[in-house]
Amino acid sequence: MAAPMIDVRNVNKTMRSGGAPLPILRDISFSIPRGQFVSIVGASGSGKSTLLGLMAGLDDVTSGSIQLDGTEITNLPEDAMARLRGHKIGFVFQSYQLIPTLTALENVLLPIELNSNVNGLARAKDLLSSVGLAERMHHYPVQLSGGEQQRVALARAFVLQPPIILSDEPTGNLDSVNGSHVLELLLNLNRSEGATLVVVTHDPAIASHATRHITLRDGCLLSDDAPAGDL
Amino acid sequence: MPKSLGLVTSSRIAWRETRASSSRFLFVVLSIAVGVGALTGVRAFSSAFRHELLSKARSILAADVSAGLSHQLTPADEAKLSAILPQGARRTQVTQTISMVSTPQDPNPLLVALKILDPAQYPFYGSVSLQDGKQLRDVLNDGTVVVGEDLLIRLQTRVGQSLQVGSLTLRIADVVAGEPDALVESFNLGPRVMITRAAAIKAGLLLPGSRASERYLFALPAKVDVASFRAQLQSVLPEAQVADFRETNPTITEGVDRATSVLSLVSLIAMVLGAIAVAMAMRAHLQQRMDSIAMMKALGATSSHILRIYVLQTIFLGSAGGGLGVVFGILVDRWLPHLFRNLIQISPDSGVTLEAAAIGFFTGLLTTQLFTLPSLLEVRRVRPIFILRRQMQEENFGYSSWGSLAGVRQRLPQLLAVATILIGLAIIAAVLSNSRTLGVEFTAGLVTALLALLAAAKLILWLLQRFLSGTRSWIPQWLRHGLANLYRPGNQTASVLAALGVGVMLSMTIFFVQKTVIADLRNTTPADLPNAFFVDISPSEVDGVRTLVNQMPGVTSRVEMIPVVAARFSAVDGQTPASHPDKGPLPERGRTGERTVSLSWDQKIPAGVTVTEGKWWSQDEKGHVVSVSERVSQRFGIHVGSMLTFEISGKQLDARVVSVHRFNNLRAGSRSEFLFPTSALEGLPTIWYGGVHIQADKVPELQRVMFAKYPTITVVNLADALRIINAVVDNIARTIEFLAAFCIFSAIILLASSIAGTRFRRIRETVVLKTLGATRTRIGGMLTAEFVLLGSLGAAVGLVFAHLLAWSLLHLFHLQYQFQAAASLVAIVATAVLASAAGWAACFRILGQKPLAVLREE
Repeated sequence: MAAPMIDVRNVNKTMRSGGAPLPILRDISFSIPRGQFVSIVGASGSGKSTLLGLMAGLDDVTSGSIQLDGTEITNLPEDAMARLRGHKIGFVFQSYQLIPTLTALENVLLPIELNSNVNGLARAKDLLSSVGLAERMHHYPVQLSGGEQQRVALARAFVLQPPIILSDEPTGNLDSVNGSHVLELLLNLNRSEGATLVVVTHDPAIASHATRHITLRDGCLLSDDAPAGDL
Repeated sequence: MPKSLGLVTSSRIAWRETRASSSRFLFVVLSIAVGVGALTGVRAFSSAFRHELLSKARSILAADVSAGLSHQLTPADEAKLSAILPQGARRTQVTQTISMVSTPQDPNPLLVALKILDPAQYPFYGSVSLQDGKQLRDVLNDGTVVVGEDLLIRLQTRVGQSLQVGSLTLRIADVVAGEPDALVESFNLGPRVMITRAAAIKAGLLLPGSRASERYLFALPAKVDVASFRAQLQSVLPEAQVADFRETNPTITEGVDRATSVLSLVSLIAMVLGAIAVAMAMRAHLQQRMDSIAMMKALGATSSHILRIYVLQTIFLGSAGGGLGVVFGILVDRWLPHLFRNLIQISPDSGVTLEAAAIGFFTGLLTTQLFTLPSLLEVRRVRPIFILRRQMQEENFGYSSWGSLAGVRQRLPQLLAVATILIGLAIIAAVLSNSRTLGVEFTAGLVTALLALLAAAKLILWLLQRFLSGTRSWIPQWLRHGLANLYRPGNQTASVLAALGVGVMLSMTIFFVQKTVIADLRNTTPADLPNAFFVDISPSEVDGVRTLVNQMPGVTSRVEMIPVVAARFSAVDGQTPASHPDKGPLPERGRTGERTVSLSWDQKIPAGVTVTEGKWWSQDEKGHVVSVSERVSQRFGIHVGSMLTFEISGKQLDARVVSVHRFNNLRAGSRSEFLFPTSALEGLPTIWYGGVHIQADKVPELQRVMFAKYPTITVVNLADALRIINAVVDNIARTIEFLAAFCIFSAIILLASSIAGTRFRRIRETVVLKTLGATRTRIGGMLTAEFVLLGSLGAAVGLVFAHLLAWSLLHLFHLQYQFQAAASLVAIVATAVLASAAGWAACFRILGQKPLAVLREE
């Protein structure tokens, strides 16, 4: 059997709040094979976003281990983690997280400039065109609507063809029309790029497209409808 | 939310917000504190400094005001004088005359310069230096005298021996090493002897009709205006030569005036720098509080409710900064004299007065309120929807563009706030500098400079953008990203550059100006000024004296000699010269009447003489020509072209005035009221005077050697008096340099504050960059490139205006401006280094921050 793309083993995450420890995640374990589309669902405060962040190496686990594409990331030095993220992970945030002082095109180019020596201008323009922003690529985020900003964020996430796409409530800040459009783009891009897609969402429309659903409650894994071979 | 947000609730919210953001407000409080500390310290320093300098100036006159007469006061004069004398004023009389003295060992009498005084009163300022260090009042009484060293040499006597003065025999009690008012008296005709008035009367020296000159000295209470008392004194004693301490030495007077102007400017600069830093920090803080403000409005708070909270917050900050600043000012005022004991000789007991502390504190508070007004007024534009659409509203409060009428109308409160700031600043500047004109000019100049700096900053950023767009392929990504950050929209780089430019501009202006002012001061009173003078040298002795003095150990300058011919000044353009005492400064003391004058000659302009009108004569000048001093020209209404008539040894000499000159009265070779070409006075009876600079401890030896070979020549020791002037010049220089450094420190705080104000934007960006794969090294490179260029560009922009300002200020002081390339380069490099250090101090934690912690807050 091929090694999983994402392997989470006995992960715990505890934070300190006013001196007292506050458990956020308790003993989470699962594996995600290459190319799978997984949705992580649960009520607010269940630890979904924290789990996604740990999987991206944006924070440290309290205990346990996480592997991405065969690489153990739990004690990886900061710079090595950054390099890994640059090559392996595309991230789509709920609040877009575009750099406000860069144009749409410059935002999409940024991962290429940070992680590669190739001239990615053509690729960036193609991606922006594919998300319907060919005419807006020289606009700044403040000049774009929410939906347009999220489409830029999508293009940025896919520009380096990362094997893993992590997305935290990608349609959370959008109206239903824009949300559908962004979802469609996300799914299309994923189909064409072939990435492993993990999405944290409240949106049933998104969850319904996922082939696997992991449910969290109060920091614990409540359910995981993975096929038997994936567990 | 209650209909009216009470003061207590508002205060509670304001205080808790301030406490919650205490680390963010550190720079704000420090910015205010540095400005207030500079202001308080400068005012205390300035006041003590001026007091110290002026007391030195007073010691040169030994009084606040003096009146010189050739006779004693009549009873009528006494009555008029008593009528104008202010309560608390002190008065004493000093009589100078000549007399013959001798010793039991040597009956040959010696002509001496007798100074008759009351040792309990004289001098009011400064002190008579006696050889054994005692006070004059302790050794001089009705049975003793104190004498100059040269008398002991000439009469071959010593302390403790007797001296016959008139009909009295007195004991020599001590040796006079220096007199504070030596500079304002004429050269003595013989060695000095000081005696009490009672002893002089008993010795028969003060008989009616005795030939003596009188000086009446006055010490006035602090609240009495010297200028008005002087005017009153002149009116009741019209024949007197009245002088006050301010004109005893123009070098000191000009030095004090210039130093005071510079000190006032420095305190204003430090205050403005602090206020700018406060404004920028508060703006950044309010931007961080937008969600809280939007939430309160969503709950029903009005803009005035919100404004009250943040005005109270700025009052807390202003008070904290003001209080800390007063402590800084006290520490500065207490510490510095001890730290720089050998450099700045200002009394440590001066202290920060309650008035100075209050002025500093309330100035800090007021400027904080003023400069934060525009940012506070933007609170009105925050709408509750902002909490749902933060990114959309972060960049735009719904303002129309500046070009539209609506845009201007919307920004009217901000424009009025800016106008209020300018008016407030002008008032503060006027109060601090005691000059309405300076206040207005300072504010106008600052506004002009700020606008010019902003325009220059925008131009530079535009040029940078053009440059970078053409260098995409060969500049590394991290460098390009860091540099490009400077012109990204919304980065407010132009404002930061302008603020940095203000700091560099003002600091370097002070530096350039003080360098030139100090160089000029030192030039006016160079270290090799003559401090020993020779009186009554006959023409046949001139060469011999030169040779002898040049061979003396300790001589550090060439001997300056000036020939003097006594003459009667009989006419100006055919008319008897009428003296106009109200037409400017009086001539030097010692002139025995208006019509007996001393003429001198030199073919070229002597050292220390500057021609202020007309032209020095040429070789082929027809007829006799003369150059007159400014004092004489003002006193007698003489100008270029006037015909003067002199009588010398029975012969008449007519001379046309070709120039008016100014001389440095500290140089022996230039103290000439009337200067002729050599040929005009050839063959006339001449006496020479000379001067040389010699180490102070070698003067007695010089006196002994001179007396042995030339017993008729008097050697006058002015080493101590000139040491006072040099010490004053040094004091001025050190104080200005110290305060300029204080100003630069303010600029550093401003710089750090402006970079810290962008900290949160940088954190967000850094987190996103890390998420996208940027390593800390790469992010560090981007930040460093940005900070270094920020500092360099800010310094370059500021330096351009600093040179312009320095040129115009020096032009105002009638001094020569010189471009200082090395200092400019150092300023650019130093600012770049400081910008990086300040930027990293504010940002270093960013690199280690876990991205999720920041993202979680979104």
